[in-house]
Amino acid sequence: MQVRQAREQYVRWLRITRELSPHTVRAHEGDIATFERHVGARALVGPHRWGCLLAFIEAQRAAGLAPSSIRRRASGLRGFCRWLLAAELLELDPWVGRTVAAGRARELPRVVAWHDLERARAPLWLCQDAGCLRLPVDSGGFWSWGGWLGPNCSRVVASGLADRCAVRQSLPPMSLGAAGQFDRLLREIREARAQLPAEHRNLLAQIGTQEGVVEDWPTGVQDLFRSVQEMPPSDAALVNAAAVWLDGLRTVVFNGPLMQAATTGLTDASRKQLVAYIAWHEYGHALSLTRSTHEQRRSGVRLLGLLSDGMRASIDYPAGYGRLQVFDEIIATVYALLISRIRTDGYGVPEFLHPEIVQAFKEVIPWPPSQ
Amino acid sequence: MAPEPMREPQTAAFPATKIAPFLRAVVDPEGKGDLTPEQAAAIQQVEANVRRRDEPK
Repeated sequence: MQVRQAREQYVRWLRITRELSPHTVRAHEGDIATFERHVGARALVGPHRWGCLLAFIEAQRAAGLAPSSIRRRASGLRGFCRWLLAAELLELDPWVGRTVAAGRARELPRVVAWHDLERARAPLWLCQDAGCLRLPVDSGGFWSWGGWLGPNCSRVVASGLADRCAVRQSLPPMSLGAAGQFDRLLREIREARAQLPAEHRNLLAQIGTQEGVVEDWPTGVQDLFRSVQEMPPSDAALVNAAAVWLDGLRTVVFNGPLMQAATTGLTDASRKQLVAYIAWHEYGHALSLTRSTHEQRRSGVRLLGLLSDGMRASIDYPAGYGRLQVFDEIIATVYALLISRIRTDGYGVPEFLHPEIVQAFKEVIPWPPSQ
Repeated sequence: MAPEPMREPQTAAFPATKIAPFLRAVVDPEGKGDLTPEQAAAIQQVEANVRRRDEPK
């Protein structure tokens, strides 16, 4: 069967069996039609392999399509392949075990106060119109940050190019008053990330996940939202957050002062352990948010009922989370649990985890990790 | 050039009040009270710290 014919049948099936808006159906159809143009008008369904799909995704990226559009297109094709498989038009789903990392790593700067930049006399280009800061880097090119660094910009201790290239030489390292205060916290978060299985670290890197510690909370994190043209949550919504995931920056930011207050009086070992648990939760959350489907999220509340008592008590539903947020919370909590047990139990899955929870988890996060 | 309108944020927060229950979920996932004295003390300390932070100053 030609791809065109399969597309027509698939779209008909979508219209009849799925409660999708006409707009969504049109979007799916458009995505598959784009793929159809890529493989040629007379292409047959059978021969498509992962390499062909990958070439298509690469062509989309090369054409400058936004990461979000590439992800949507990949998701549309994934659904199409699942349907082909169910309709017995394909023998194997080429997407099984594959992921598309369409997100580009967005390098966060070590955000500095304006006067520090001036003092450093770094050759910098401030593009007022574009609202971005450009700094020369080793490669001879420029590093641009789309965020607006105003005179009152927040200080963020964050990962980024400043750690690895000439920018570091241009800026006084950590000469930002109290800016070294949360270095230890950031270091411990990164140590926790380094302890993750290599496959998961690679996935996080593909997603472009970064971490940071904001010391002037909530203003600092609100500035980060503004830097990617997102409306920041209110003070009230942020003030009691220990950490927040910024989807636009693919970054998990920790509330430095709150984390410090929460860990006061703990032994070094306990504090470090606590930071690692929360970091693992947040990395699991990042993986789930970027890899789970809407369909999976809809199953969250049902899965919550299958969790063990101790784990269920940590997910405050319905007061603390929305219906569609529960799934990612479950995955993140299970992730932190499994990572914390590697040292004692290896990659085994504890018996008290319900098989459906384990299944849902494995659909989102490869377990046991292959590397 | 006029700035682009701001998009609605997609946030996912880890609230301070979740820290202690979450710690308990990791070290005692079945809720049987299987905690070492050190773990129990650490969780109590965190609970107290978060409570203190919430108290009006």
